Amino acid sequence: MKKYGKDIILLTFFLCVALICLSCHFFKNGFHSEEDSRTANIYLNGEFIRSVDLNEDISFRIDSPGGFNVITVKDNAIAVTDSDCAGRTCINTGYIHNNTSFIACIPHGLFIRIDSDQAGGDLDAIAY
Amino acid sequence: MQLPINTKSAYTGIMLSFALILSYLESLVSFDMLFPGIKLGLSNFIVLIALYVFGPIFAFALCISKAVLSSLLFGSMAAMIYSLCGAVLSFAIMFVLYRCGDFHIPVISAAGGVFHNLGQFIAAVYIMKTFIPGFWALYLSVLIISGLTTGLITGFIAQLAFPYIKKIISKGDRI
Ligand SMILES: [Zn+2]
Repeated sequence: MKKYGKDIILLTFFLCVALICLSCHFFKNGFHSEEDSRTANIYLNGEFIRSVDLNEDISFRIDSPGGFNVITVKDNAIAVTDSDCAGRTCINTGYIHNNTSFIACIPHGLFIRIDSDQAGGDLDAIAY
Repeated sequence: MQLPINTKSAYTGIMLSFALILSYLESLVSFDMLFPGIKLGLSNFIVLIALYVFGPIFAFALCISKAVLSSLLFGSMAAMIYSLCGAVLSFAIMFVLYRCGDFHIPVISAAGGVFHNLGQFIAAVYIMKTFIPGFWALYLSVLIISGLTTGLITGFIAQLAFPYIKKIISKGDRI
């Protein structure tokens, strides 16, 4: 019968990495990182294309080389409500209303996130 | 186990169909809410069983064909890079730990689960390039813990199923 020593070391190592990531997150963002914001920024293939005011209900369509996405703003939240992409992950994400979640349509390269202020094109989020 | 190559190929095919059924079940459960496109990796343990019973070459073939076929059948072309990245990394770590010989099946499976999720995370970072949400550290820790949990659970299943599968395959060989 093999000993369990190395098994436990490996599992502990993974748990430690997870804990370090978790503490990094709380160290950087604090415990009150959920902030409601009123602006959503939309990116296509990594480039900022437009921002949307979440106070006004609106619905519009974004065409990209891969296809289209219909974006809807309702009750201070934003969602992709229609798309011709495969998988429909972007639609299934539903409405998002704060900066803890984001919407991605990977087949079309479309990303939506809510930022505390209006963002420009140069997002270097790895350094964030 | 010493088996003729035809037998190994035939059984690898059967295990591939099991893995695809699990991938289908996985595609029904929406894990997308957490991080778009990322899958749980329920079928990892089938690759692990193949590694023990048929050796690394057949297990690697199984893991690549599982990733390609499941994204063609239940996902999208864009999801394929996620699956492939996850499958290759999880196979690599499971193979290394298996060769080490000091680890138990559930732990190898757990490591495979973690690296499956890490591979998909790396693919997501690559696809999204500059667009990474500010909560990536939180996502990463959730991905590691969920990979660890699913890996351990499926690893225990693999350990329980292992003697039976061995018995069936050695019987089938005699017929
Ligand atoms: Zn989509």
